[in-house]
Amino acid sequence: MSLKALAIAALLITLALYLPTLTLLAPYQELHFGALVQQLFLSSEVPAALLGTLVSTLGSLVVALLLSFIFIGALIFTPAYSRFVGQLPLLLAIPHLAFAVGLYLLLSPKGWLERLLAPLGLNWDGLPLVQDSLGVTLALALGIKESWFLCWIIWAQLERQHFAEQYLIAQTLGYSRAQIIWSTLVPQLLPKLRWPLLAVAAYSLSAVEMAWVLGPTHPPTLAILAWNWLLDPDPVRRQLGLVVTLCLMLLMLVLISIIWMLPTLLRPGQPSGRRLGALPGLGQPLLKGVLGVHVLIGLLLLLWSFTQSWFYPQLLPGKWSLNAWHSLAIEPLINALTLGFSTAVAAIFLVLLVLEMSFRRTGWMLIPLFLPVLPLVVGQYQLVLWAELQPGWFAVWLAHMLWVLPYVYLVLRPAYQNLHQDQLLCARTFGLGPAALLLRVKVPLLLRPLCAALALGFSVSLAQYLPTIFIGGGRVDTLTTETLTRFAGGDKRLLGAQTLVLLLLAFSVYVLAQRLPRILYPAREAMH
Amino acid sequence: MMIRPLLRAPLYVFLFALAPTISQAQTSLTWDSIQAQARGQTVYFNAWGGSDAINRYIEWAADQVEEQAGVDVELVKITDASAVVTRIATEVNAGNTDKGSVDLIWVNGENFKRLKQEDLLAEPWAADLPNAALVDYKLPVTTDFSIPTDGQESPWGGAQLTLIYHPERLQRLPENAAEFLTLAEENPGMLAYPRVPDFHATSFLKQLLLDLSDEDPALYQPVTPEAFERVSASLWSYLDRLHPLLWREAKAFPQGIAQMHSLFADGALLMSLSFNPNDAANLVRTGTLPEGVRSFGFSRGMLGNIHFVAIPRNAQAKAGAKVFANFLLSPEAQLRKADLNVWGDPSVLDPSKLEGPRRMQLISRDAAALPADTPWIAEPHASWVEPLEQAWLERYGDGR
Repeated sequence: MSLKALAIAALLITLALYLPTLTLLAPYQELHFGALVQQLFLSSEVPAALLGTLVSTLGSLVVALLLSFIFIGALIFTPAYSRFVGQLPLLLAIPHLAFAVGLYLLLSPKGWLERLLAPLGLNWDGLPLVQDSLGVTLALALGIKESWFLCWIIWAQLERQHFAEQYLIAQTLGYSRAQIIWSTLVPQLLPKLRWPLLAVAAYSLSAVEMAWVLGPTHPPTLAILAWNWLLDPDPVRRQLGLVVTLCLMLLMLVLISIIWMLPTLLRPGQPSGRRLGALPGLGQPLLKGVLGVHVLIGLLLLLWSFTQSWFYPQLLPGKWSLNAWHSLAIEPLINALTLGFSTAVAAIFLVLLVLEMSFRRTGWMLIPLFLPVLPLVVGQYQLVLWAELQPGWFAVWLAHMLWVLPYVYLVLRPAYQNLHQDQLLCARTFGLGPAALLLRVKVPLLLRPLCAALALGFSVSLAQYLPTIFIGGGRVDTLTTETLTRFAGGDKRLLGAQTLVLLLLAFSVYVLAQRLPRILYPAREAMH
Repeated sequence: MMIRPLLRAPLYVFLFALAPTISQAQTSLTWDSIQAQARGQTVYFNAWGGSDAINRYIEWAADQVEEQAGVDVELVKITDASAVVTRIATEVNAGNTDKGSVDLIWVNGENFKRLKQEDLLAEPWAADLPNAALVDYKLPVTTDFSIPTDGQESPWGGAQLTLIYHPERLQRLPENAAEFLTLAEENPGMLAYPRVPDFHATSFLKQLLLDLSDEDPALYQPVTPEAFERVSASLWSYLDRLHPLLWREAKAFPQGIAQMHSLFADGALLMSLSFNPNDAANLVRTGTLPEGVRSFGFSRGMLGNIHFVAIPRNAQAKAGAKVFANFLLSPEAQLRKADLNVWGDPSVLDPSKLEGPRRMQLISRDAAALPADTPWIAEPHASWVEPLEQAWLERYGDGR
């Protein structure tokens, strides 16, 4: 078969995998909205859940944006910058759920922080640090987690711009670092951060994993409320669940417009010419503090996983045990590995072939990133029912592809477009056909982005919760679903061990992806 | 899930019409032929998967039936049985009447009521199991929350609401709801119950309701708006007084009993709650709760019920499911289930129908467990659950 035919097949398969983005509205046609909306307003839970959702989503956007500018602003043009950039992929690789569980162990009532501060006589029974009713903790946690993503995007943008010269000029004019960042860097970057911010907003709005662990519980966020209602025995409640998923999509529209106007809203205005004194350098200590928290929660996970019993106010486990590690099941690991690698590899194939068609319009491949997860899963379920697909590994594989594909595309497209045309031309003059050109020139040249796409695709599949549990009918356990089951089970020892496995797998895949070019081409240093 | 199928093939209408004749033929089969039919089948057993001890026990039972009867049992760990009931309903409504994804489900109460009401259960089968003869019929095994089981589910274990405390931290135990309120007044912020609609929370509300209404007989009849208003009034005025005295002033509730155990173990609460009378004993052994904890109940008695396994109408491996359900009722399986080192779930067998050592094993209880003489209060009619939860959510659901 020719490359052309393969590419067309790949495009068709990709389009078929994207069908849930079209069917996501199908279930709404049978609803009687008038009565349902009325009931929704009567429900005492919805207004409070909406408030928690708004605080956590908007809060996470503000925190992520602030932190990323503070971190980059404090570090750029210092020796610490390149070290920080080197750490970024590792920070990005931390699964949201693992981060949330770690924070829970640290901040929960009678948790480690409370134990640490107990001798000082501090008592905050009245001030909940996790699962607060407004969702402040959830906003902070989401914001910190997403700030690494934004830092990474900002770094990639700065690589392409000549910011160093602007900085130097502003500096010689006597402006302080904070002033330069605020009046030159921020306005230039904000328009380019719109799309990444949309992805952050879509995730914060409807992902249930972190909200479950750290978010408000009484009532929970809208996404969890909708999820609970969709599974309710009462058909009216299930319809209400659908209406709430529709509300999530409407909220997403609101967020899209807010984010789109952000560069206008935050315009710093003409510089007045006043030189402000240097601010005390808070950025670097703040970053050290946040990184310190990461190390601490890693240690807490480790400690809990080897615990037999550990009660307040002990700072270290009272009795140690290997029981938690003995009780870990192997299937979730196998499922996570097979799903992760096979979806990532398949997505790489499909994306490369679609790019080979040299279509100009392939931006639609990013759509799933900007839609709330829950309605998409409802759309997928609709299709699974229609196709009479048995819930199981393959159905989950199909479901994961909807999120793995856009992320792989996100990494591969810029790299593919930046391939040096003269190199390709040169190869063609040697008589290489399209297929040989792809396999013998483009793929080796793209080796590093391909490895990055593999790692990212894997970690996206690894992190999926809603599609796994819903489309898999609970038959397919992955490390993520198992970790949340452990969280619900409440045994912190098992939770610690299971979360640590999740974290370690995410890290190992990242390290593997980084080393792979070195392993494949040990003699060619430029390809590493 | 409220999703209708996009297509409805006429073939399914045909199969649907045939289904009753097929299942009638099946009930007349003898146990031997059921066993023969079961050999080689794969049974997807949907059970709550939040407890490691339970999962291990089910895996053990699965290994045993594989060995003894050649039935392959796959445990499907679920977080919420009502979601599975919804799945079964969706499948059946979509015309899937004989290749459902669930062969056996661990169920009781509200979910059983729904399965039965929506005609999602296999024809009666439980009485045909050979081991059904060993069951203790003094326990409420033939009704499930006042709804007759009609042999459409087979008893698996017993459960009784249990309060857990530490004698060093709580000396005078509350004997009824009123004393529970007094205890809360003396120790503000130190008592809690999980958030409705958590199953333990609803059970605790029912316990309070039974106590406050002096076991009003209306609770054992299908609910009516008048009866609900009359009987529940005392509960709401009680909760209005209790809530400001609870953990975090009831502006937040523990997510479930797991979080309650953890808060109790760390000294943030005076009591924890369980629906397994042996739970405290279990949790001390695993190190989740500190040494020395004990269990108690109100003097009137504590809410008790039986949990069951049921076969959906559209199960693929009905024979295999029956063989597994029969094994779950065997003395071997029931004794192991009651063993505190394994699971500690009370047996449903009649000790007098077993011989010496096994009988002794069945009646002994650990010191940390709920005293065996705690009276049983039967579950109210299942129709009370929904309005109770709704009214609670309307009153307190917004967290203010």
